[in-house]
Amino acid sequence: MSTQLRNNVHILGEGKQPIVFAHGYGCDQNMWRLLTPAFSEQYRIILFDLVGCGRSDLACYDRKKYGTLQGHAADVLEIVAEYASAPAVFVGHSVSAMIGLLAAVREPERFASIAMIGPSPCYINDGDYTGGFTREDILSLLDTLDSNYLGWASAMAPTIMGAPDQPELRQELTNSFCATDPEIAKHFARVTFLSDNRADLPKLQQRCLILQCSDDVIAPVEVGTYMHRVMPNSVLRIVENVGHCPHLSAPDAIITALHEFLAE
Amino acid sequence: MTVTQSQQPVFSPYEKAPCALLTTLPNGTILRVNETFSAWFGYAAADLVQKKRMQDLLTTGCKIFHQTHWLPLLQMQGSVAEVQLEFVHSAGHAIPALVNAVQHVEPTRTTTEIAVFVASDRRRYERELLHARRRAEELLEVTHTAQQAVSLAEARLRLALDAAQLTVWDVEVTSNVITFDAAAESLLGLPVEPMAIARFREHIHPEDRGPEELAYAQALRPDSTGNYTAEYRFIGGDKLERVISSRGRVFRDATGQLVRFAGVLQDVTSRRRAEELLKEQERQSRERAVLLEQLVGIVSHDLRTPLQAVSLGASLLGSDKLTPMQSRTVSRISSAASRAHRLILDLLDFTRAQLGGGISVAQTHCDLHAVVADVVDELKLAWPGRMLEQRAQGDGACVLDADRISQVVTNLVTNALTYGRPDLVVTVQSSVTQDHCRLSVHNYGPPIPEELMPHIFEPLRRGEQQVKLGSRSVGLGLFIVQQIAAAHGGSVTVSSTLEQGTTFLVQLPVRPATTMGDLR
Repeated sequence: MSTQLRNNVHILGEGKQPIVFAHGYGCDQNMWRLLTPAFSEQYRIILFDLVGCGRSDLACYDRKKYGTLQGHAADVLEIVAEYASAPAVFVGHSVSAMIGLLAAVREPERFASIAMIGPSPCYINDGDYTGGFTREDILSLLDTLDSNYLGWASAMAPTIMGAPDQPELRQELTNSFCATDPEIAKHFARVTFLSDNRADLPKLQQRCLILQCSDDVIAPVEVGTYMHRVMPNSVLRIVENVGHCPHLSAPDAIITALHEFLAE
Repeated sequence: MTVTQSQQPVFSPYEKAPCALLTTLPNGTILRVNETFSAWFGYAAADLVQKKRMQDLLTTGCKIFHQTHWLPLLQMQGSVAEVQLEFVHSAGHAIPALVNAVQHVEPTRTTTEIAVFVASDRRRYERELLHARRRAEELLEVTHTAQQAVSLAEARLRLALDAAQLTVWDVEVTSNVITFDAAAESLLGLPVEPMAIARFREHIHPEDRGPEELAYAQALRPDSTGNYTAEYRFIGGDKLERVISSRGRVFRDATGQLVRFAGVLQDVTSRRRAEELLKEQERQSRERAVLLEQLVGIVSHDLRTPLQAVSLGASLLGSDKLTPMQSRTVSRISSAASRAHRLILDLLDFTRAQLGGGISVAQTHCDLHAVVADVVDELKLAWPGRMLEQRAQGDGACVLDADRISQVVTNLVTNALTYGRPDLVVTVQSSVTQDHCRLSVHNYGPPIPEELMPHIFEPLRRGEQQVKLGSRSVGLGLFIVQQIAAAHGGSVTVSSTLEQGTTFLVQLPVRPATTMGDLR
């Protein structure tokens, strides 16, 4: 199985320095389309879909392999080995921040630096640690996924309201964006939101940027400050943003922060 | 009558719309809600506008979903449709709702227009559908697993059938059509297409057809066990005869209705041939044994007649006046003739014991001591100069074959005199207790060699010791003693040491008086 087909890998950009963008839980590599133009001149951009999401090969979704984030980390290492000729910059959103961390801990020589957007090593509150959720909350999410089972399973009903300013995107988006096998989505949700990678944080050797939103229900500010505290080589930046996807709602701020971090 | 416009209550399609409507900023901050929204979810507009974000009104699970699915979708494509979210009513309970949204990008600001439809019923229905689908998938999985188990079981069965060289048959009982599996072709030498039972039976050897049909009909009878067993010669399409063993069973459902009649065939030709060969060999060896027994019987019997003439002649001669030399010769002739006579008797007994049904005994009331005394007196005459003593204990009344017991005493005492020290006494003891008749013969002298002990009662064994002239022994004596003891339901044992000498002990059970009538 080629990694290209398995992970729907796309290569963009004119530069030499490889930069990997890894999407978070819920959607696919389309999430990066507001960011990629700002990096295409200087970088070789590697985009991919996590197996089970977007246009990855769903037949490859092995519940045992992807029962922990290590399965996705192994895929990232294969992608980097195949498409990056030099140590890569890894930009991971949400759960992919942890996937990148695990990959970089396993094979540090393949990564130049790591940037994390809205990361969380553990979503569930545990003693002094504030993850933002209880186990019941996560079960409630799985329930919500069930509620939307039919909607997503039928690959999004045609959007009657459309996207007036970008009609060319409509077809593509309605087919793939956020739509996947609902059972896989549920399994991935369980793996993502019940994961705990706090012990792995101090093992990261590379420079690391933590981009923390000022108001993010999924990754509260406490999570960002906790990570910064336990990761010796980390930089914490708070982005003024409501929500979990600043690269969509505040792309300019994210671009600026990334450029500054990479220029150092 | 005219009514002025201002007197009519103002009807606002927005406020009274049949769905809840709200307008938010991209970050979710609520700018406006309609009356329907307030009514459905229990919030006054004043408590929401500029004070709450839409996501604040969602359950926790929906908040995550809102972040990971709704917002990216809205930001990417400017609209979302038919997303199910749960709003929390001000009273605390969750209300499932179907939500559509569209973004309005204006020069000054971007807003989101959201329409909410309460979808409790639809959601219930969808859940039922979902559960039904999951149940169906589970059943499919169960079916799949069951099918796998079945095919595994079939593969194992096939393996077992192949290993045992069995072929499966199956009769459709309404049409009487029999079907075989592929292995039948070489077994039967026939093409394996389904065929009528009658056509199949045409290949069965005519002599075996009747029994097979009987077994078949018997198995199908409602009151039978349903088991079918038949063995028949079968002439295949290749004209070769083979022997087929067929076993089967009738299967009925709970109501007793016939469902299946199926079983296995096995080619037992070689087994049957081997059995027949074995039977033939047995028959031949039995015939030879009978012939041998008859031969020995005839020879022994025919020898007795001339021997009797010799004995009679010797005794007649003995009555006249003879020279000492003639007298000794006559005595030797007489003794040799009687020895030959005893040998012939032993030979006859041996033949009966070995080849026939064993030595027969005819038990009658007698006195053990008297039987022993007769033999002892006789042997004292035959072995002059030897010490022979009888010790009888208590009453000797018992039930025995007196002639056979005489034979036992003769054989044992003759042995004792032959092998025992000539200068020491040979003792015969006899007793009858409540349970046993006991008879023992003791002599002093060198013990029986240890290596001979385990085989001492086998025929044609005897001590290596030089046999004296006049003793009679061809190695059958002890074998016959043992056979006679066994025929009485008893046993004979031996103990032999240098210090204690040698003792043979015969023990016979005493028959209860009540069964005496049955004794032969």
